[in-house]
Amino acid sequence: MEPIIVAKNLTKLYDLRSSFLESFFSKEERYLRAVDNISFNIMPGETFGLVGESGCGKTTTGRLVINTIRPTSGQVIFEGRDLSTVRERDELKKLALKMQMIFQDPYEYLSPWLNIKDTLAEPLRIHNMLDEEKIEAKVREVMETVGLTPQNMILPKYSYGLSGGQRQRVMIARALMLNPSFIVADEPVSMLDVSIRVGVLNLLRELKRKFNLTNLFITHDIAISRYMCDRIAVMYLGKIVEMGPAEYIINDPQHPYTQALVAAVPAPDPAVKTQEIPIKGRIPTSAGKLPPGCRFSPRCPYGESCKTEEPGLVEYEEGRFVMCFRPLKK
Amino acid sequence: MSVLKVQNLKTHFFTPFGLVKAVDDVSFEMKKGKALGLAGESGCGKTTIAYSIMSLVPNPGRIVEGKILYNGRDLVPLNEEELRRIRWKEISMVFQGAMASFNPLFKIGDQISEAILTHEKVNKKEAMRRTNELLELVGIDSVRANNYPWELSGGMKQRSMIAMALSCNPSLLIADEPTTALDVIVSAQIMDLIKELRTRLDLTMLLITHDISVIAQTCDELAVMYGGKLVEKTDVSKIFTDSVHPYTTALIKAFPNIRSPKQDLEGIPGNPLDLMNPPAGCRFAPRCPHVQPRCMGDDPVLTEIAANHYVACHQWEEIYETR
Repeated sequence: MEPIIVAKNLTKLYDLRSSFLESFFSKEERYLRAVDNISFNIMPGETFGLVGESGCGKTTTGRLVINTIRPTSGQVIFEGRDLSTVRERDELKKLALKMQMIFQDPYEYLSPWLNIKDTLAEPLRIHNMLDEEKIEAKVREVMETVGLTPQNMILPKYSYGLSGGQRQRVMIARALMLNPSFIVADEPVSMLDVSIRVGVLNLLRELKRKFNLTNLFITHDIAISRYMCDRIAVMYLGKIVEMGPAEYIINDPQHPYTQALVAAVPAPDPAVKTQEIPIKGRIPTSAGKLPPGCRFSPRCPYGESCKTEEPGLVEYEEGRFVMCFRPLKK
Repeated sequence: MSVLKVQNLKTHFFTPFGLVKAVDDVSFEMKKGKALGLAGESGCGKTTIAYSIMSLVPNPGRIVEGKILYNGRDLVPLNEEELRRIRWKEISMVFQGAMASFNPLFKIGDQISEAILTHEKVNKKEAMRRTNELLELVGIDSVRANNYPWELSGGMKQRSMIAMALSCNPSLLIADEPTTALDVIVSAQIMDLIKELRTRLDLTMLLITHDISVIAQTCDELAVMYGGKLVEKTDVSKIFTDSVHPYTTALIKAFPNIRSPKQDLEGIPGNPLDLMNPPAGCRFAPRCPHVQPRCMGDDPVLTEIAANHYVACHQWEEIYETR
């Protein structure tokens, strides 16, 4: 089976030099390495998770994959087509039919000027897909799918009249209007209340099963990523440090950073005592200079030879990748 | 002995759009040296309880009824001057969103020693010495006292906030969502710190959070709120095996457990409560799987169903038996 997404050596740098003059005269190059030479594949029907703390580059990766920002170098290949070569407006429009994004904040991304009916109909109108009658039928059909009821009450409402959970369902419905084959979900439940979070997660799982959707699922919560994803990639300072099937990542993490992420999740049972977190310190800003050698080495409890040399992401068992010398030596 | 006793507390907000009963007839007790975790979704009234205890309820809210007994003394009728002697020295609070709670124009050390100088009769030098001690206590190098808040990371700001809350040796600490907006690993470190300080300083603590797992790891007792009411309260060790209220059970089920085999989670149907128009009867009834006609009209009261296990539910006996 061919992968639906191939990311090859993706890199995104942001120039930190503050002014044109500075960029003209200063010799020193200062970049924020938001995404630093990462590669991965996503198979059709798969949910692929990106996990990491804030600032690790997971959202930037999501945006690169969906082509809303362009990589500094590297490629994203979607269904065999290299996105960096797409220049024509019409072609971009066609791509938008197949790739959609669900954003973190349903309070911010819904227009306060459009009622729910128009919000959902908008994508169809932009793409001149259907006449008005059919549009309404389609809107109702998708609302049914995402559990937005009662329809007649919700359709004329504006986004501020809805609850957080309903808004996120509207966001999901809008992403589904054009029958995309690939969806990037960026922290879709982090703004939602605990009691409705699971409902939205279960909806996304059901949609995946029903329409064989492929998902890139971005979250900071490793417990949620296990619930949602088939495979997980853990990111640290712009790099994928570990990648593999979700159950392996959770139950047998190899990279010390993944181990710390798993240990940091509090157990919902007082009888189970949470393990001590093996790492100290905090994330250095990727804006400054990266530490020499492995970028995790300043916080690593093991760090030996890695102070000078950075390990590559190596497949040490079929389908399991890790960016660390230690598990490889065993 | 109980340090804090909240009796039939009602804190209401008189908004231009209508009356919001943010805290509606809540009673609970906190024993010395114990930690109580208060859980519930946003808007259930848990922060309003904290503000009521500190007498900091913002306008247009006010305590309309009830008593807050601190070591037997009612705090509700006290005037501002009397309250000032209790706040910080006796009861202190770590506020939600510590990042925004510091003044960006003053150094961290000065802000903490200001709290000491305001409340205690000490000179500047002594206050500064204690500030440095406090910073070391929460795991920050005391040279950082000379930094401005924006020079510290989120986790360090939160640690400084805790140092400030401890600056006048309070006996009761209220921590309102002390780890929201922090990264996962940092928040685990902060919770470890709070746990350690609690045993070391023999603090009584009220921990407010939406995450039941955090309470499981740090508290002795758990109280669950829904729509301004307390719906269940018991020992932390019991709540995960013996929870009775359908909302508590649903909340526990809503968190994926990373340490057990993968399971399907069940969401709670419906939408969070609109406190402006709460339903008659039990406020959870519209979302409850055990709902009976009685629940729609008749408001259940908090009853002790076993030793130190309180539940507000008409159906508790049926649930208890079928469990």
